Amino acid sequence: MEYDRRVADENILLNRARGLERDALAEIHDRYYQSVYRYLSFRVVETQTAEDLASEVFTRFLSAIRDRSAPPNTIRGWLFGTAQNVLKEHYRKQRQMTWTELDETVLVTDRDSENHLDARIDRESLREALAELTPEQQHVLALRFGYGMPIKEVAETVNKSEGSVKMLQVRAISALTRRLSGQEVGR
Amino acid sequence: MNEVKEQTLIEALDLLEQGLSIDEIISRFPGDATGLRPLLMTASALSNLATQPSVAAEKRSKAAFLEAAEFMATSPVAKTRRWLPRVLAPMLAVLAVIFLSCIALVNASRTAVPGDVLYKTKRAYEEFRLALTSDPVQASVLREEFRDRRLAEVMTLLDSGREESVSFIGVIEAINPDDRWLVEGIPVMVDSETIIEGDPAPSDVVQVDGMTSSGVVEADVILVLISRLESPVFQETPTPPLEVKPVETPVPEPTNTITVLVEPTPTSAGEIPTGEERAPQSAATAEPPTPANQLPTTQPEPQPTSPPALSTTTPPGNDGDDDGDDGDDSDENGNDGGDAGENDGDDDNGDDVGDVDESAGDD
Repeated sequence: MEYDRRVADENILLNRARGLERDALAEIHDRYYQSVYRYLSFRVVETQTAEDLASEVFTRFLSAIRDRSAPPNTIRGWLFGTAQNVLKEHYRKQRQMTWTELDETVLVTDRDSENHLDARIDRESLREALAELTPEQQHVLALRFGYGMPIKEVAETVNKSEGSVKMLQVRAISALTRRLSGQEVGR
Repeated sequence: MNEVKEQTLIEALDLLEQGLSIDEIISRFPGDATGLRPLLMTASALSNLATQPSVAAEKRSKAAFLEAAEFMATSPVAKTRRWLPRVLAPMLAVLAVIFLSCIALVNASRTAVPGDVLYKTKRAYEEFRLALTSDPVQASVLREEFRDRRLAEVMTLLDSGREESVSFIGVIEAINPDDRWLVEGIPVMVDSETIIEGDPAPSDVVQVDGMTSSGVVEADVILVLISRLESPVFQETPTPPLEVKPVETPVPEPTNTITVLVEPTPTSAGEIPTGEERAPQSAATAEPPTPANQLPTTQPEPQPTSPPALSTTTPPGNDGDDDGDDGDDSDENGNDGGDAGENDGDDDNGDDVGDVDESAGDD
């Protein structure tokens, strides 16, 4: 029921946005900017890059409205789909750059502290391991842990059942842990 | 790690999402503690991987977003310019492909002969060209060109030894005793099964329907379209004059009008004779001894029921009998009675030949 109400509300907002109503567009930005940014920052290292990519996603949203090409259903689904594409393009450009900046990461060595468990896995190692997952796994993990999206909404966004999304998430985390464990053994 | 069942990890992740610490979660799954811990650490690290945007960054993004929307709303020209190509470009591309395909098809069909896959395309294109031509002189030139093509096609088939059904129109150049005719340079074999309509003679224009075989056209039907000898009006024209060959047709039915014409006036006031009483009177006044509703022996001048082609193709001075006969024959030939009716000038001769050509081609 709550979901239906939210979808109806989003449809109204979308129709107003198609008419380029300033208030509707402002509301869309307020509602989704942080989520989009968090999703992107989950995948890229630099803050500035995440900001630029987030702005790019919203610019494309306007272009889609102008060209009458999107979004067909939900604003949220469209935004995260576009964020995914923007990321792919970013990665493609990045491959042409040097890898020197990746070496700037400093490993966290405080292994014995149980209170800083997450700090034992440095961000860069985690991102490198993430990059080796399938695009779908990366997308789902970014939605779950970047945006903090509930399983049910992730399932709607990627058009899968909740069970499938849970299984996909579990396997992705297992794969990530195996890779990270391999790195830690090497240290 | 590998020993942890997927279902256990799903439940553990749900608990992590609910805010429980890793130690609390592991205490609920004591048997999987070793394998579960690194997995939950990875999940925990993932939760802290994303960062929150700064307030300034969000404000900048929103301002730029709304400014772009404002610009878009106030520039309808730009909006239209973007929208039109999206719709028009695919349509134009499809039309261009269709157009180019048609041109390629027509070009490829130029050398097609009866029996070829593209022959229908060739004929359809000819019909299309004719349909687009409103000038009658130009149309007659086209029809003559197409007639020549039919002859060339037959020659090609004969040269290649192929057996195909053909139909062409040409002038009889020779009728040899061995049943080998020469029509416009094409050898035509006539046998006992050949249906001959009319009385063909050299210089007549005929339509030949038949089958190419062993260097000759075995004629199934030979139809006299234009008989040079029977059309003195057009003998001086450069092209063979059109005359439809007479064929026996039923005598037109008498009309009521005739009955009124032969009605005698009363011989005396107040006395109206019966039909039987009128007989001796008619004899005395040289009236025909026939009942009032019987057809008179002498036909009146051309009836309104006669086709218009008859009066125009008949030489001046011809009587009504010939007119009546010619009419139905023109229809049998597939000729256009209307065209014949317009045949009041020299130029129209060429047109009529062409007309016959096209109608024959349709067969």
